[in-house]
Amino acid sequence: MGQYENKDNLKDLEMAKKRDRKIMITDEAIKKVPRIQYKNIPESEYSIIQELAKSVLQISKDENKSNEVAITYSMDSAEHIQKGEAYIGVALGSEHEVDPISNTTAYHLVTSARECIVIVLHNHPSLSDFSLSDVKFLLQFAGVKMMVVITNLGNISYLVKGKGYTYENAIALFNEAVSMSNEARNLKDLQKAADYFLRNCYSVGIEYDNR
Amino acid sequence: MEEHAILSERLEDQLKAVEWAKAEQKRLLKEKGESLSKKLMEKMTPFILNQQSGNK
Repeated sequence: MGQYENKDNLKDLEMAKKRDRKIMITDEAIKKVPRIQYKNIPESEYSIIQELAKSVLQISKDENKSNEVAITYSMDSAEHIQKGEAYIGVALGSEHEVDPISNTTAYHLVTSARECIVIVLHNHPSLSDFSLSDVKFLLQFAGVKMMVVITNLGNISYLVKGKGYTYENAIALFNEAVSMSNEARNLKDLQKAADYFLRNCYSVGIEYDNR
Repeated sequence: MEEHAILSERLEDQLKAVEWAKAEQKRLLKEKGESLSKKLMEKMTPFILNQQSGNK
């Protein structure tokens, strides 16, 4: 067993060196998805989010060639269950993108949420962190509370709106990052622009964490 | 009535074929996502209810 685990780890490491390429998801990566104590999220949701993060990788591995998959989930799921309504939406994408609201349920949850209670989880096959498009999605929809990115190796980053969050300030910071990206000449520069937002988002009431 | 499928070597018709294939791929992924959502809810519902009753 240990020997196989070492082989899996070695395979993960070799693949991780090729950052610009898709990393194929392994069972080991799914197993290691952590249970995180998310800031600004009730404790009762931690294990549910962990299960959903594992499901993102499992569905991506089994049904979408390790390409991007998004799961949209509403924290008022118990109410939806009682009413017999849908509360989870799954959307399948390509190696570099996924449209979470291409799924009917996800679209409904994101656009009609009366409170900020929707969580969107998706995987990044090439192990990159949040992109500017991911951040735009978080800001664009008032009902989206948190975005979670799971890399194909099972690591997690998240962005969550907190009490001090204001849309206007977040847009101002986003525009600063976008003006950096307009000068970007390659993918590295674009990631730097996104990193600028991630480094400074605490100042506009958004928490960022990377495990 | 089904749309006629024209067999053609012309560039514009081949580009149309590529566009059609992309749209079909998108439609199939959407359908698959809808069916996976149902399966995931079946799996998650008892887990969620269990989590929430455990926290009461």
